[in-house]
Amino acid sequence: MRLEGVDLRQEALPEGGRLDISDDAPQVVGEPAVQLPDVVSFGALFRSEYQGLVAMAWGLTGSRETAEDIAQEAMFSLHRQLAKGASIENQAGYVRRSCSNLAVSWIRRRVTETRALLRVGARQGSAPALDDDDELFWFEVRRLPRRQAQVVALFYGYDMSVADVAATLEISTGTAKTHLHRGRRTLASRLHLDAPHEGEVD
Amino acid sequence: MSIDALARRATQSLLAATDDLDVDVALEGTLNRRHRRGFGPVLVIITAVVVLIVGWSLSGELRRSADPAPPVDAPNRTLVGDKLGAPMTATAPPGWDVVNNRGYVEMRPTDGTPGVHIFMLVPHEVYDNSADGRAPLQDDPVIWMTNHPDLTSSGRFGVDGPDFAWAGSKVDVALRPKAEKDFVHLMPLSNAAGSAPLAITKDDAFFRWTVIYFTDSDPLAIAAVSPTPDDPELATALNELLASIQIQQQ
Repeated sequence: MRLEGVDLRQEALPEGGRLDISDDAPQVVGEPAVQLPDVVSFGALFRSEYQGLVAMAWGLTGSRETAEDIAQEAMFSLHRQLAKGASIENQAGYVRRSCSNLAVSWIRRRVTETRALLRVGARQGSAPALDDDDELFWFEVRRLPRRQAQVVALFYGYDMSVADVAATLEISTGTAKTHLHRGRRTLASRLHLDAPHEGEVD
Repeated sequence: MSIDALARRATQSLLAATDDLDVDVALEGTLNRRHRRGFGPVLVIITAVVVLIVGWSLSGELRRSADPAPPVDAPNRTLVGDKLGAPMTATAPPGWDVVNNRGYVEMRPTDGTPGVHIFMLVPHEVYDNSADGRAPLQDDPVIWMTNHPDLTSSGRFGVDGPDFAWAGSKVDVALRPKAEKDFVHLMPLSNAAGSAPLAITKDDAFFRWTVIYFTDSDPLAIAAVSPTPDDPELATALNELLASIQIQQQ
């Protein structure tokens, strides 16, 4: 799953205006008051990224409810930046980085977990269960140091190259490669799998 | 299975498990977040201020609790000290409070009766301080008692300090101020003096103190000196008191 960011145009949206988030063109009702991102572009980015963000955050937090909240928080963070007029070239990378940062941040995670639990308290039903081996894999990912966990989640979750992972996290390629190697080595050891060879990834 | 294979399968499992996501609802919820952010920063600031205040208060409590010499009007029943590496716990009997246990133990009456104090040294301190070539007294318990109001500060009670001179032997040693102006009598008593409990009477005319109690309990012996006939009632009371004091090395 490799997704490209979508350029957003800065267009006016009325404060409190109603948003049509269907695939059709947005309908804005009311007087323009603040500068907000283009709804169509943001919606498109949201649709293309949301599931991947939730999946990654789920893997990193172990909770789907928390993951949904984190994914929305990451998207909202982008929305807020764009509303301020910020120029973000790689918006997909921005939300992925933001989402992974939120997911591995202990304090933030607890805050969002609490908020998510409060919000879904009355929600019935539970998220689909993962296969035991898959669940164990993500459990071990969560035990990794946060940077290693981020790199592993991005590398596998988005099928990224190491260079893309590095660009997303705004770290050097060498650093990303080191984190990935150490993460994979630790995972292989803890899961009793074949140890990866250094230089196996690029 | 390789780590890559498992990782990719686990990723696909997550993606498959999120197929039921309602993206439209999520998008609407995300865009509506801006409407429920009004008090967020305010709450963060309030929380930070509360945390700072509570933290500051707790740190103050910790500092006060670590004070080696709490004020008499707020005495502790039990203190633990380890000035010379041998922690000791002194538990005051009813009616008395431990007000210091750093290097020595000081007790004062709970009711604030002025001029009555009990000072006790544990053997290791006597030993560590007797570096003047005389026989170490590591096995000898020492208790100081004084009712002199000027002798409540700890700095004046060093066994080998310049203000004191040896005036006896290892078995029965009396320390007194060189200036001989303070009513202080330090009486290390050898364990060899007898089995516990053993009452010893030793008049010291010059300083008017009498050893009234000596016990060789394990691991520490407890000894006491007390004012002589001047105040027999106090001496009797102290005798009973000292019998109930417990000092333990940890």
